[in-house]
Amino acid sequence: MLDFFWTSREKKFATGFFAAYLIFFLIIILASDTKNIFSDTIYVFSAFIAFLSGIYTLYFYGINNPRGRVLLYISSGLLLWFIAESIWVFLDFFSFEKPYPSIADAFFILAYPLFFIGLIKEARIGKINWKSNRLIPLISTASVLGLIVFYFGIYAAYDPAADALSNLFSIFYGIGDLFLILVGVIILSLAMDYKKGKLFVPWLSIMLGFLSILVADIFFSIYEESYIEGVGSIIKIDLLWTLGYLLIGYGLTLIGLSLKEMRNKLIENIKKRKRPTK
Amino acid sequence: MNQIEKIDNETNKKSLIEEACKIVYLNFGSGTAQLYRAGLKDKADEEILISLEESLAELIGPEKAQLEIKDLKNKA
Repeated sequence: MLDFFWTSREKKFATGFFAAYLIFFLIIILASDTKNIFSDTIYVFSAFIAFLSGIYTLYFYGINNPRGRVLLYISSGLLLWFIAESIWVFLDFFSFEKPYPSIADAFFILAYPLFFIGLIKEARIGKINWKSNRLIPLISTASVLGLIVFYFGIYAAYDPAADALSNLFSIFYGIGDLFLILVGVIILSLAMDYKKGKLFVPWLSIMLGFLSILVADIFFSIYEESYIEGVGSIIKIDLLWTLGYLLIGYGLTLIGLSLKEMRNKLIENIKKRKRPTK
Repeated sequence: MNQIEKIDNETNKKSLIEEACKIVYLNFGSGTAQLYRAGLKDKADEEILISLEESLAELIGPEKAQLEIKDLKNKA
């Protein structure tokens, strides 16, 4: 499976780029005790990279292609998250307003249904094989994660001392994270269906990306106030969000590069086949 | 081969090509599907199926590729 990352010069470059970006951000975040504009810019830009990766792969499918439309939904969701992250950073560093709750949250929340719709469409096109020996462990894992998210993201997120808007956003995030769990289950089933194919690793990467974002969201809902103050080790959860964006972006890039590789092979394959002589 | 059999074969061949191109369109994208269709000229059914299954298996895995080819044979 490790050979997959090196089958073309472009894949080597993509693997190197995403790995280097993550390591660079890791060094910066570990070296910082407080949130700063530099680390936040690198973090926000990772969301933009994920969005660009979606557009890159959309180019290969085409916008009228059913799978192209799946990529359009996913890329649109990533664009909304990039806008949300940018607004957050702007409010945090350049205005006197608290970044949470704010208009940024509307963009964060709107992205969730787009991811969900895109992946449901992909599940229908791809005709996922919901095998029972796979379904039971998936549902069990999803249920455990769902309970954790429900407790920390919805039940414990409600604060009677906070204003209605804060509570509303907190609960919407919890619901959004429950969507993410469903999304994760769908993507994992897709990835398992593509076992031994070039699309296995990319979809696995995308699933791990959403999982990383889900874990970061859980930590945020537990340590919300400390995170907004911007001090302490809790700010390191930016690493999980960045990891999430980069894994999603990497997976989308690999889908595009795999299509590019296979396009050439498919055409060569059909051209070289000669009509058998009778 | 009589005239009716010839027309039947050509119709079946066209529908096999159409279904194969649909699969390529869905899995490899629109640009690839156009190039693929151009390359199918004068290819036997068996060649089309084998080459498509090989390429699909590499992209989406052998199990899904087999299912797609089975679906194609049922439709064509």
